[in-house]
Amino acid sequence: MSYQQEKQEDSQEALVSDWWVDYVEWDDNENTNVSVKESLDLLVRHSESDQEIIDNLYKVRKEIKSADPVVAIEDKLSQPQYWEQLEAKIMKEVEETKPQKNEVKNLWDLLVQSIWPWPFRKSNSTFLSKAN
Amino acid sequence: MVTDQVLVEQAKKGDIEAFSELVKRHQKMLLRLGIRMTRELELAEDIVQEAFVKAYQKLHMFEERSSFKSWIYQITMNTAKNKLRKKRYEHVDINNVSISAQASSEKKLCQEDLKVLILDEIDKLPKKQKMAVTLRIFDDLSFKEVAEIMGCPYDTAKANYRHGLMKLRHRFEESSVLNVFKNFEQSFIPKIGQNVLEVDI
Repeated sequence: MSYQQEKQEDSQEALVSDWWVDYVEWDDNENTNVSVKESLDLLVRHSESDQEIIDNLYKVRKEIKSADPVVAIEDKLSQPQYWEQLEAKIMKEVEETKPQKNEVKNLWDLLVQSIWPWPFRKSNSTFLSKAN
Repeated sequence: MVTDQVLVEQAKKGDIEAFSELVKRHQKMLLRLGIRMTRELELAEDIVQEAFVKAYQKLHMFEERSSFKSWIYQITMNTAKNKLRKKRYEHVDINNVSISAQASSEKKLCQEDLKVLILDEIDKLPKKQKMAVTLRIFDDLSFKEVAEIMGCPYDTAKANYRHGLMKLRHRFEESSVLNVFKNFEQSFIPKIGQNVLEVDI
């Protein structure tokens, strides 16, 4: 499928599917409106087809969640010692590393200094401030 | 509580303790991301370690136009991609799964195959949709947090999530994944060969 086709399909799909997903994922954000939620509840209650799609979305969500590879090792990850050890391991490596010097910035400054007209050079800031 | 921004400033001045605090704050989220991308704990640990080392080395380049969380997330994703490319990570091909298990473990094996199938479908989503779906569903983040990590407006994060979820729904319907799961829920122990064929890959 071409990019254009996919984009067109996405936008068409978005028009009809927006509220289904929003309903399933109701987000308590300041932009969300309680009365809208109540209206949608009513709509879903009286539309079998919408109810079916929303049930399917809940199911898809549940199955995606169950496929999370992290779930299988959640016991190990729930131990505070595990994270302490990982942090120590990371920091050991970090402490052996030196931060890189900002070579690009230094080169840029050098370039600017060499080609910039004399009155505008950084080193002539006093001159500039006087001029302004 | 000291903000990430302050800690970054301190770390830039050479305060290693400040960087250690940043590691403490973000390692959990990043390790989970690594596991989801590689499906291996050990490799994910290496990726997180490498990502933090890179972040420390390049901290001066971080201009704070995005949050530190978003920046380190992107570094971890890129590190994971490079590692996987190097390793020539091979996804488990559902057609090559050896069916030599005992009947009692058939159900489990099939469930594992389906999990692989679901993760593969998520992998096929465009980058931003995948990111929105995994952050929202796996990490249980609010759209506000998802937007912060993705470095985009709230509505954009939500739109990416919508498109991603709807695509997955279509693909799961096409491949009968939902029906197979429904069968599992009804305690139906499937015959592996048949069910794998039913899942039109």
